[in-house]
Amino acid sequence: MISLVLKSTILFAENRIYVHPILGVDAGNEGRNIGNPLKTLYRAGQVCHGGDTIFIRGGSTYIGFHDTFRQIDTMGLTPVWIMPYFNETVILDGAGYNFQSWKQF
Amino acid sequence: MVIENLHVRNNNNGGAGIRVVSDSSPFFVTKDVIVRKCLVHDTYRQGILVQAKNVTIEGCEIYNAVLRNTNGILGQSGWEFALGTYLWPSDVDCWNNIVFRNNIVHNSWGEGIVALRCHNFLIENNHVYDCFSAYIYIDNSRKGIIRNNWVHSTNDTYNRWNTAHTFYAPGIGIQWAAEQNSYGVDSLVSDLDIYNNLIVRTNHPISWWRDISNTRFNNSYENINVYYNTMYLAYGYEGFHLDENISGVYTPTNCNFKNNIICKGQYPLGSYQRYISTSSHYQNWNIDYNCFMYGNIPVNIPVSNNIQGTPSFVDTTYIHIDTNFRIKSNSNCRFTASPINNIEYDYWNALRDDIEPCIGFHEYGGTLGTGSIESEILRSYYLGQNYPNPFNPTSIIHFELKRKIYCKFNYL
Repeated sequence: MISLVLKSTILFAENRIYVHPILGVDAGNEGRNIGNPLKTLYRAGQVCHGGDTIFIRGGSTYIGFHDTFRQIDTMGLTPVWIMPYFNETVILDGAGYNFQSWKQF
Repeated sequence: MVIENLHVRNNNNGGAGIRVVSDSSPFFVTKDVIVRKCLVHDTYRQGILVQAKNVTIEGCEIYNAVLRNTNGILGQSGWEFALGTYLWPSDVDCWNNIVFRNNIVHNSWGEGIVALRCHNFLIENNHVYDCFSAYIYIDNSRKGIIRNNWVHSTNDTYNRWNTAHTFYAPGIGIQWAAEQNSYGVDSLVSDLDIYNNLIVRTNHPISWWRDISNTRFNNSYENINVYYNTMYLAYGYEGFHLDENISGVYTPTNCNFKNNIICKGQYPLGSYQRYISTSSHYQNWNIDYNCFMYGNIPVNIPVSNNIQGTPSFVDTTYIHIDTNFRIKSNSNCRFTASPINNIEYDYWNALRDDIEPCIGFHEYGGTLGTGSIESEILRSYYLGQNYPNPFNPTSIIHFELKRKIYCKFNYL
């Protein structure tokens, strides 16, 4: 199976949010500059708008990864997309995370 | 929200790989979420858990799920599933508009795919193998389509202890039930269309399970249609299993079992048992135009348009199993089905032949259909709608091809 994502070449920074769980910073940041990414998806959920694409930067395996969007509008008609940054490989690895608050469902 | 192309793994210290869930405090129902082409594996509980509305999970691979039940250590209950819905918070009556399609789900120490308390759901084109418990399980749900799925085990690693019959066997193929529940709901399992599925080397391929702990009147079902499925090598007592009815519950009505290739259960292996349960439940079913592959149509089958004898499969070994279970030209399953309205294609997206119709998941000689629904298009190619619309500075178009070829895109 082959899957490609075709995009137009015209991209505006205001539609993009970058997340890098290692190098990113949340405080006072909206993550709309590739050189100044957010640290968490939680923060990305706070600042995103309909039509935004949230790029998780690849190149690293994020060990101990645990992140969440909380009660945001998922914007059904103009959704938020969460995906790796273009051809980068993103591995979210939960190894070592301590789920003290895990609830029985 | 669309989540795609992420690799999520090693959530083996507590939870699920991806959770699309709602909240109770403050109350919030999540909706409109698509998870596409994600790889999820090695999870302590669910691979992907859905407790939300309008959710599509497609093109994902989920494996090594429910590791907390490795080797069946939890006993007879208490495990989760690789992909499915669960009802929480309990303020929500049900989940609507749930789609699980084109996923590969395997090596799960729980169920493969579960629709629990779903109204309006579609489970199609999934490949589900080597799972504990049931491969596709429908619980307290209604208005569902389960079609074109390929369900099988490859070995005995995930065999489960069967308390009723005291033997180990692979999980059950496709099963529906109305389990005792804590959300105070007394509803029938109803309006299920189960068709074009290939189910091989499971316990009962098709099954109704009556949870005796549910004493409600509606611990039952109605409007269940089982059409055009191919079942082979059932490690249990029946090919089509219906738990015993009991007095004081709703009597199943309008249930049809038609155009299926059905095998007998085998336990132990090589010792042939029955095609259909000896429970009185079968009397509530229209059982017609099926192929009973080993001969001897059961005397208690109320309708006589069934056939008996080998369906003449291309092969019955476990390499490329889905192609092997096509039928040969001399099959007794050719020309012997009874066409079903609104089922126009077979498992392979070949047009069903109304003139010389075939029994089972494969329509011999069928021509490749163009498909009127998205899932059928996906079998050969898929060209998605650009998203968002062209008035935005960025637009994304997804496409998929079945194999590696050169292609050309023109846009005007």
